[in-house]
Amino acid sequence: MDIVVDMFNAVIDGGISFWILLVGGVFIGLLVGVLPGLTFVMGVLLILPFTYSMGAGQALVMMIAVYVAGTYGGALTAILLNIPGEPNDVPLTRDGHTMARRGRAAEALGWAALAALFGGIAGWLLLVFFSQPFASVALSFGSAEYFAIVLLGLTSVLALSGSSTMKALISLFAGMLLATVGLDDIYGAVRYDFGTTILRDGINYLAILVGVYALTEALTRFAERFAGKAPQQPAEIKTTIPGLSAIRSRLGSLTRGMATGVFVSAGPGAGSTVGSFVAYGVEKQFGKHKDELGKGSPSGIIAPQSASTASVSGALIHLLVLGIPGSGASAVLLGVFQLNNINPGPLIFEQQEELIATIFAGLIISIFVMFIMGILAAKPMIRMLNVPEVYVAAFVVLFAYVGAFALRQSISDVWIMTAFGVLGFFMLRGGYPLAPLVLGAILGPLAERYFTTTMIRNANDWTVFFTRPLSAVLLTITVAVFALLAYRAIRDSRRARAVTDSQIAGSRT
Amino acid sequence: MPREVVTGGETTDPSTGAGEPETRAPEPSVEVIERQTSPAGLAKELLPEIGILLVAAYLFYVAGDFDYRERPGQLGPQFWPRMAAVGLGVAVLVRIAQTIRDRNRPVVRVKSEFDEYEQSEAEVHWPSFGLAAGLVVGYAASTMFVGYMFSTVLFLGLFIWLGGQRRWYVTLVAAVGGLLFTYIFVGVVYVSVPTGVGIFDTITVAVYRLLGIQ
Repeated sequence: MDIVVDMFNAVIDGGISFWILLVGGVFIGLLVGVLPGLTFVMGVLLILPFTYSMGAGQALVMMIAVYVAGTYGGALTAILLNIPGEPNDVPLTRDGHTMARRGRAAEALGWAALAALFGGIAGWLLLVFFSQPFASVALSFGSAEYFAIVLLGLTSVLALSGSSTMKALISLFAGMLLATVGLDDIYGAVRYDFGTTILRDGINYLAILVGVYALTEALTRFAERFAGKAPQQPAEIKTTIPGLSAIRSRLGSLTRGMATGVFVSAGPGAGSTVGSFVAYGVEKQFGKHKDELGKGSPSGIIAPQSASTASVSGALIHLLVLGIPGSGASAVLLGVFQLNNINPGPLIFEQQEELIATIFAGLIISIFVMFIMGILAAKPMIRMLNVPEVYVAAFVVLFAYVGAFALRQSISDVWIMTAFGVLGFFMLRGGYPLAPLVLGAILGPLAERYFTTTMIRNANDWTVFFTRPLSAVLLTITVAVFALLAYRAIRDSRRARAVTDSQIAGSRT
Repeated sequence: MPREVVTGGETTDPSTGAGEPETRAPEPSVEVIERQTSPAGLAKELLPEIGILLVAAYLFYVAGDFDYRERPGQLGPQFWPRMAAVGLGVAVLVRIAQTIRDRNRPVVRVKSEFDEYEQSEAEVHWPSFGLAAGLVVGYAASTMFVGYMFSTVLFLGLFIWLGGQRRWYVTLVAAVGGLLFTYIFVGVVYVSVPTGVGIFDTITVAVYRLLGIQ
């Protein structure tokens, strides 16, 4: 009950600005979900410069509101226009739009809103009631355990990259190498500066994030000449919330989606997109209505949407308890903590009680505001698609410039951001995924710090990683994930070769 | 030319009777792309990977020159970058080996039910990319000389105009957008963006005063 009282006090203390920032954040989150070429990670990144003059609490409330709402906003275009607004909306698009084509758009929108609400609440409950006990356990973690967790996170990024594992590995190591540029924290040595000030100051991972997520997208769309016809807007946009009996009939899908979102995002490196796809896959395997999936089934909306919104809390648990970002968006939130000289980690629950209460309050209120605004504002949001994309791209570049510049009030970061924007464009063209690059740049320094600290404390005895029980377990899981990756790659290669050979043989007879 | 190969789940099993489908989970649909890569084509394909390999090797070598106060028994600041460089090098070598091994093999891709949403069909127009990259680089460079405010107005106008919006109000959008966000970032958020040099600095500061920015 204490936490509820603390949250209430945090809302009161926040005053009118708390509500303005929260509602504004939800609006921006819904908008970035709807607009093409924008993702909620970009949304959180692009409002970063606006948060520099705010306190940590205010900044985090606004960014979390954008994050949460962004996981739902894209469902509007997915259902109404057959265009997934965000990567996490891809699984629900077919079922959602099929329902819309059959005249059940209002029902589909209602299911998406409800799933986002319940998914968000489930995740929030886990965050509030689980994070503090987890923090108590995390207090006993040493640098060896933290290294093992970060390593698991880096491996998970590979496992979930989808495309060529080798290309993902190359991106990951490139990110880790880039993060070593500049002053080394432990030995005080300057690395890879090549005599230039720009590199001596190091490469801030936020500049990389802004470059590859925001600028790369703007460059890509300009290079594609903003191709793609403007979608035909539906005449009527309405949302109908399903009744209790309908909810009861889909309770299984809702529960599976919420559980999947929460547990998938509990692993470092897996965000809402992964949660959404996994939840859809689970529903396809085990759902009562699995045969209906892909043909206009509400379960095809409920499972991925509830998982997407639930995953926000999972990412926040990682960030708050371990100080390890669980997703791209939470990496930006980490930046806010650092800019305000606050270190997330298990002690944050004792040292920053008011901030924690503010975050918890901001999250749950954002979820409800997202639900209400998503229903009421669906129509004007969709009408925003009439704005030509080039205007959006131009302002994305504008925000990206300031977002990078304001990090250290330095034009160097703008150049770094620009370089990564161009690099990101070529990486995508070459089939190299960007997520491993970014997370390599974020988690690489953490991995180095924990690894080097462990080795210094234990006189370079590397076996300590295996003699400490928790570290050993986590490293074993990491090895298992690697083994699974290798098995999957070999199996897919053999299967593909078998299919090709049989077809080639068939065509010759 | 990609050739679609669809594998289905129906076979004729003599023990069950002719024409009766065997119940087996359908295999995923795959796309097969035949290819024959010439040595020149292979070299072109491997160029980025070879570049990355050379960079990794160079960075591994340069790491030996880091200047620090060496203490016996410690790994040193070069350890982690070298581990990352080795990892990068090994991954690139495996990738090169895979590419050479598969150069004349058809590319087989398992189709996903979400392909229509995940695959972009738009083609890249390289001159447009060059233009966009030039505008972005020009924007960053010009802020140091003409200041953020002027650069932003100019950038917005050019980007939107050259991006295909040939409307009379583009100039208005650029001017209003540039001034508005200059006010927000400088006056509200307190980001000290560049004001330029010489006459540009003078005019920018005058505009700040007019907008009430101290």
